[in-house]
Amino acid sequence: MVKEDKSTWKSNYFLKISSLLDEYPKAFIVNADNVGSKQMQQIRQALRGKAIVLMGKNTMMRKAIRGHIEKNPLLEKLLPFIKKNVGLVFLKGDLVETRDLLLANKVKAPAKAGALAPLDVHVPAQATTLGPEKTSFFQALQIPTKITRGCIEILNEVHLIKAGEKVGSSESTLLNMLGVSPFSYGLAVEKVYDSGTIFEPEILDITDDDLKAKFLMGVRNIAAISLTIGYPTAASAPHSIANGFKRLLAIAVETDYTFPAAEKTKEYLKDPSKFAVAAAPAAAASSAPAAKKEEKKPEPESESDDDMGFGLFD
Amino acid sequence: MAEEKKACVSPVTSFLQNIDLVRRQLRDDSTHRKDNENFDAEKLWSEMEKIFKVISHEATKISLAFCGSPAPSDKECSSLFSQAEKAILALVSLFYTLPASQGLRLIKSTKDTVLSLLDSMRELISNIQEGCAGNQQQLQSTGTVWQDANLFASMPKNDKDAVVRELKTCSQLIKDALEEIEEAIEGDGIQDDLCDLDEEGGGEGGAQWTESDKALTKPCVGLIKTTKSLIKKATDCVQSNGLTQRPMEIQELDKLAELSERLSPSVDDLIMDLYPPVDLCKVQEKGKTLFEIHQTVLGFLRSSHMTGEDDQKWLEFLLKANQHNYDNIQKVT
Repeated sequence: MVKEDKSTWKSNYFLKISSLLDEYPKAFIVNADNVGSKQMQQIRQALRGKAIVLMGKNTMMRKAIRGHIEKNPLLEKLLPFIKKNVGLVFLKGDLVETRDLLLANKVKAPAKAGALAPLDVHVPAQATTLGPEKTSFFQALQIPTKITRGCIEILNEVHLIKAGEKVGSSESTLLNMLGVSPFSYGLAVEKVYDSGTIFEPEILDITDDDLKAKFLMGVRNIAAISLTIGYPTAASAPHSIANGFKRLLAIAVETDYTFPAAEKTKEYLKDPSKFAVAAAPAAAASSAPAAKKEEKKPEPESESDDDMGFGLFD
Repeated sequence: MAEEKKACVSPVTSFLQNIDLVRRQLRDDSTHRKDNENFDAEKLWSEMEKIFKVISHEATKISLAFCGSPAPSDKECSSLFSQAEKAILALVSLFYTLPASQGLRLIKSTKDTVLSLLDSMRELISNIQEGCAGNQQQLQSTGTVWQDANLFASMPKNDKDAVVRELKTCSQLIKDALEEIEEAIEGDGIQDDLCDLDEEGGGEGGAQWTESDKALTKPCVGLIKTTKSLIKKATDCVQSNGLTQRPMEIQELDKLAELSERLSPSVDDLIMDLYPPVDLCKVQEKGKTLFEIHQTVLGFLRSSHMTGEDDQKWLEFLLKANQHNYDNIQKVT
C-alpha cells in the first residue's frame, strides 16, 4: 500500500471524520487505556458491519469536530470529552448490542508494575510449581508458605492488590510467576452520544423496574404532600380513607355507636379470649388497656404515613 | 392495541410540534429580553428547580404509561401530554425572565441546560411516536431526561460560576493538547498504531521530525505552556476576585470568557501543523495567532477588576514568556 503524504492523510482524515459525523447519528466515546494495536485490530474486526472505530490525535479530532459544528451545532457537546486516551465508535444500530460487543472483546492482561489496579486481586491458598529458591519473593510480600514435595505452597488466601492502587513490582513479578493475568482491558465506554444528546453509559441498562421505582417515589412524595396540606389527590386518597376509618373505629370503640366494619373490633375488645386461638401470641403478650390496644391495631397504615412524612422533608 | 395507539397520534404530534417550536425559538434566541430591576435570582432558580423536577416526573409518567399494554386512551394521552407541555412552557417562560444584565455566559449556560432537557424530552416522545413504546430505546430516552433534569443541581447560577466552568473546560483541553505534543516529541513524532484511520491501516505516512523541526517544537511547546499557565491563572483570578454586582463586572467576566474560548482551538491548530512534515510558514502563522490571543487576554486581565497589584508579577512574567517564545519561533522559521 502506498503511503500518503501528511497533507493528503490529514485532509483524508477530516473527510473521513466529517462523513462519519454526517452518516452516523450515534457514537460511543471510548477510553483506550491499556489497549494494544493487536487488540484494537480484533475489536475492529468484531465490530465490522456494525460500528466503526475512529482513533486519532485528540487535537485532530477536536479540529475536525469544530469544523463540522456549523453544519451540526449539537456536535459541540462532544468537544469537552475529547481528552486523554479516547476514541469514537460510530454506529447506527442498537447501542446495547455494540456496547456488549465492546465488553466481549476485553482481553486478560498481566498486572504490570506501576499500573493502576482496576480491581482487587486475591491469590488463593494453593500448591504452586515454584521451587524453594523463590521463597524470598513470598517473604517480601509477607505471604505465609511452606514447602510441600519440593514446591512452595501458599497457606492462606492473600489480598495482594487493592483496587485503585498502583501495582508494585514484587506483586507484578509474583503474579507473572504464578501465570495469573488478573486484569482485563478493552475499549471502555465513557459517554454515549445519540443524535445530539450525551449521556452516561449506565443509562443503557435502565430497566422497567427502575421506571416503576422512580414513579413510586413520585407517588409517595405526592401522597405525603397531600396528606400534610390536606389536599386530597388520587395518591393520598387510600391513606386518607384508611385514616378516616381509624377515627371512625376509635369513635365506635369509645361509644355505643357501631357499624358493620367496627363490630369485629368491638367484639374483640369486649372479650379478647374469644380470639385467643386466632391471635394467640399477640393476645397473650398484650396486657395494655383496651383503648390503647385498639389504637395500635392499624399499625401498618400509620407506619406508611410516617414514611411519607419523612419523604416530604427530605 | 394498535388502534388505541393510533388514537394517541394526535396529542403526540401536537406535543412534538409545540416542543419543536419552543426549541427553535430558544436556539435562535431572537426573543428580546427585558431588563428587570427587581429581578430576584433566588426565586428564579428555586422555581426553575421545581420545573426541572416536574418535567422529570412527567417523563416518568409518560414513559410508564406507554411501557406496556394497554396503551393509554386518547383522553389519557391528552392529559399526559398537556401536563408535560405546561411544564415545558413554564420552563421556557421562566428562562426568558433571566435578564441579559445577569451575564451572557450565564444565559448561554442556562440555555444549554434547558435545551438539553427539551431535546431529551423530545427524543422520548418521538421514540414513543415511532412505535418504540415499551422497548429499551424508550427506557434509555427516559433515563436521559432524568439525567438532564438532574443537571440543574450542577448548573451555574451566576455569571461568575458560568465563566469559571467554561475556563475549566478550556483548561482541560489545553492540558490534553500539551500532553499530546509532549508525548509526540518523546516518540519523535511517530504516529502510534491505534491512530490508524481505518481497519486497513494507512497511518500518517511514517513522517518524522528533522533536527530543524525539533528546534521549532521547543518554542511552540513553550508558547502552549504559556497558554496553560494563562488559563489556570485566569481561572484562579475569576474564582477569587470575580464579581457580579455591577454591570461592568459582569461584562468583564463575559469578555474574558469570549476571549479565552479562542485559546483551545488555536492551540490545537498550532499542534496540528507541528506534526511532521512541518510547514514552517503555517507554524509561524498559527504561532502568531496564539501569541496575539495571549497578548489580548493578558492585556484585558490586567485592566479588569479581576486582577490587582498582587497579580502584576505573574501578568508580567507571562507577557515576557509569550514574547520570548514567539521571538524564538520567528528566529527558527
